[in-house]
Amino acid sequence: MSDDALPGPTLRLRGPAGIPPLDPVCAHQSPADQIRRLFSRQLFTYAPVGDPDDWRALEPVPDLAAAVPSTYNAGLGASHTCYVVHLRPGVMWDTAPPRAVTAHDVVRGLKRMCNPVARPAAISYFTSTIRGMADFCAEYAASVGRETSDPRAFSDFQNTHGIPGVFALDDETLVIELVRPALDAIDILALPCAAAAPEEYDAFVPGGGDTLLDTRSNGPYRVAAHEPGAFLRLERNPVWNGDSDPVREQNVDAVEVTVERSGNARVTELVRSGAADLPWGVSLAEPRTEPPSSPGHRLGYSLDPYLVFNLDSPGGGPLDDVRVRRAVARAIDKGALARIAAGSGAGTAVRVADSIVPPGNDAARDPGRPPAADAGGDTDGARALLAEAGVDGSLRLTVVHPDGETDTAMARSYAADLEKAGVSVRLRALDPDSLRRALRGTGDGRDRGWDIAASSWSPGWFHHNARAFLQPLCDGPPGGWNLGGYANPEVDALIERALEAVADPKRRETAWSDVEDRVLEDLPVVPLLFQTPAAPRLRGARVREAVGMPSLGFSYDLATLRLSSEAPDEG
Amino acid sequence: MVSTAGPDRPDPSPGTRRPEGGLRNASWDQIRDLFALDRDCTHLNTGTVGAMPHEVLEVNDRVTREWTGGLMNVYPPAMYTEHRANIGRAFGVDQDEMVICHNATEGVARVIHGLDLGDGDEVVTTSHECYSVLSNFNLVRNRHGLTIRTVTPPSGPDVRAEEIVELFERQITPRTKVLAFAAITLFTGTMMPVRELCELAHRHGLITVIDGALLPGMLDCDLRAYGADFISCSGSKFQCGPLGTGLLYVRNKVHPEYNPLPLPTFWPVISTWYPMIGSPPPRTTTSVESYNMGDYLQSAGSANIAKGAALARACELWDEIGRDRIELRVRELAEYARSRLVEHFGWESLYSPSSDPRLRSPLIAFNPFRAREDAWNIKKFITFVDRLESEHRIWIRWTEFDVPGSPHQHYAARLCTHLFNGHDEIDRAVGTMAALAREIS
Repeated sequence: MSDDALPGPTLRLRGPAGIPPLDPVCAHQSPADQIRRLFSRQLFTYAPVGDPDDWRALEPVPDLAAAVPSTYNAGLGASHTCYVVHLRPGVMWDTAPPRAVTAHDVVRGLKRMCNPVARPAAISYFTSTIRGMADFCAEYAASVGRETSDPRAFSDFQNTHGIPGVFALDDETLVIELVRPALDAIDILALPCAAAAPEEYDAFVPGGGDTLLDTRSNGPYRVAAHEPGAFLRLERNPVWNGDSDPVREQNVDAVEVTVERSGNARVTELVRSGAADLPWGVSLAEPRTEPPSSPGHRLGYSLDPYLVFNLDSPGGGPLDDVRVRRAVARAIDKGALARIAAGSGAGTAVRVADSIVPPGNDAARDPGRPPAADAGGDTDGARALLAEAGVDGSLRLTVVHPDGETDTAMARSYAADLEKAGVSVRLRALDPDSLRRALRGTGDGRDRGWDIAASSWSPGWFHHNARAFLQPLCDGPPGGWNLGGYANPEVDALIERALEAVADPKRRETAWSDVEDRVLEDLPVVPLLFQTPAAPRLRGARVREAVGMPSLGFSYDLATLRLSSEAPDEG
Repeated sequence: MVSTAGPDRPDPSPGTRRPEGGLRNASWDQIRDLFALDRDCTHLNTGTVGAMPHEVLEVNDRVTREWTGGLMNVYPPAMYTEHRANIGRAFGVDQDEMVICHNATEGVARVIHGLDLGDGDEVVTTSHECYSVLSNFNLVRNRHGLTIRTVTPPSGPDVRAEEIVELFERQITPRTKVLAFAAITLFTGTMMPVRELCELAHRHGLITVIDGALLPGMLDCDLRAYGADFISCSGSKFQCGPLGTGLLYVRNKVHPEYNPLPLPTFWPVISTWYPMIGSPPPRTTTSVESYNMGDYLQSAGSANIAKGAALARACELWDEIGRDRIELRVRELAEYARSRLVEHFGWESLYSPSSDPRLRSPLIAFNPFRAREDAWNIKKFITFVDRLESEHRIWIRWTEFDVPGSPHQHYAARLCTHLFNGHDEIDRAVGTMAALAREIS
């Protein structure tokens, strides 16, 4: 620590993103994960390690757990399907009076993920891995309707039903049984959505509970003020004890998030001028003369963005015809999108996506194989396919996309490409909260008001992560990240086969390629770009010891950074 | 040769005095005095580690002192040539087939990595193997792409040997190359039908790799007669040698009456001794070895000469007492313990096969708790074992294993009987366990 990096002032984040629900059950790949890390803990997490090529940045460490279960500490049986997790003593909820976090809280957290109204995007990882969780999800949805607003309906179900493969032996120890061995089981349990939940969370519908009284903390900070959609303030949690938290610290006095609808340049200006310490909800890098040509790390890329077709319509529609979907893919000039991304100031390395699974993922295609996905930019080819499908000149599509500056610029670009191919496009730019509701909220199929949605997906972990794209995007129960409702039993079976191949390196390699090949025949999604951060994220002058964490999409760990006392504290 | 015999001493310690008539005729109470074991402790965990006799400790100390700071040539004794011959004789094998290694897991690791396995080859083994078997095969799988077929053997008192043989047979395919299994499983104490499984392997032309960690010192066994290719054994469990000692049997000649198959291709994981140009002669097809495989595996430059001598002394002691006599004693005590366990906990509490005498061993695994679900509550088993030790000076262990058809990892309390145990301490131990289990339940 440098001499002038002293604890004390308030860390200020400002930017255009709204503040998503704080309930950890909703957590996954949103800026809010940065915030949740301050007050919400899972069995396992990642340590803030600055060098992404340092293995310690990628290896889960115990958080609520006392140790990562292994064969050598009697936490993992030889069949690799039974984890015994002992909790770390001394972790407390900021309840009145303070109460210890128990194994029952962890079990409750896992059960809440199965609720039918606000499931985490990563739910398919869990339901395909933990014994009985898929059935628990289905039974939960059948018992508690998606329109239910009475919190007791949720808590009653959870408190009277169990996930067969998850049970507490007592307050300090729980058992998690798997359907099959999973080399990524600990990484999955380290996802922010798998956080412990206190019994107080029974008082609100999962995904709700954004009042001050609802949110409980077992981390170094707790919510002190919250104006939904506008402002959030966290202050030090007085019952947090650094001895029971190996990865977080309590350096700044408070963390404030102020939502400000503005473009990338304005947010950059706020940070450079000292009016903010970090951007909120927008990826901006430290200024540099030219876009990075390579990532500078080996962690692979995100699929960012891709388009997903709404295949969830009960009555069907033109998008049910794969020729129409291929026409959309063929029309889009991905190179133009890459130029937009490269000029966005995000500091990412950008590649045109020629497959769903990006390079660097364990299921990535052999570089020697031909591209799996359509190269795009072929207007005539697209027209021909539309004509073949009998929809030339008549196809009208509504495309929803994030309302960020870069996302909007890309949307205009691919909309223009589609128009050239004869497709009439209506673009709807939605703020993150509206987009979340449109993509994953209640209502079926076209009732959700979109035909195509722009989205992105990043791996939640960086080793043994072969499933991290194809499974969530193409499989899983409703409420996950299979946003278009794609369903193909053949693909489901191939995914099962790939998951079963966990112990066989040779079969594992080919099994996921088989999944991808089959999915691309159906084309439920159009991969557009691969991106990965290749430059440090933008930060204010007084920010010290900021560590970009791969598990947070390379965003800075707010739990350990410090603020210099030399720079101004007012903006 | 490094002598295992002690120097003349005017006043031998109690543990080294010989009763009249020698150890062959000594009472079990007198034999108990051979061991460096407190009278007030009940050691029922020889499956994990044995108790060294005083004489073994003495040899270890003496030889260590003799070779410390000396200028003698350390390399010849490091081959343990005579020890291997003597120990081999006790187990029905020759010196060229016997290796003194660090322990059973090291032995099995060196076997697995020496097998000539490649892409597409298959190994059949069980989920009840010692981790060293499963982890080393996985390493070879990662390296060479073989396929491992892992079966979960049945457990419970009424399991029969035929079930186990059939279970293995169902897993054999035209690509199977190896059967690997424990002679006695450490989790449930199942005495596997070793000879029958080896005959199964012979019918299919398979290599047999046996984790025989618990065999020496427990059974009066003829390693060659099992018909296996490799048997890796512990020196410090039932054989009661020093920690860090093991025995490895490597079939190095063909005795068709035991194993009619040709010797398998084997690439010994060596330390020093192997041709530096060219290869050893072809492996023999007769009962006369073409080269000394044991020497290749044994040669390691300098070695712990004292440990080798101490292990050899432990084996000599067993020979003096009589391995046949020891086996009878160990089994009789085990049956006594089994009957007491059944009396207190019920027949269904047993995970160890018990109806079929072919599958019984002196390791008995059982669930001491009343509630069925306690069988997968590791904390109760840890508490049970810890309190037996800390409050009652009774040493057993808990084990963990899969049970066919159950989604849970099961746990068991496991006790082992050995020659230094007595009926009284079995009574005390089982009675104490019953009371403690009631309390914890």
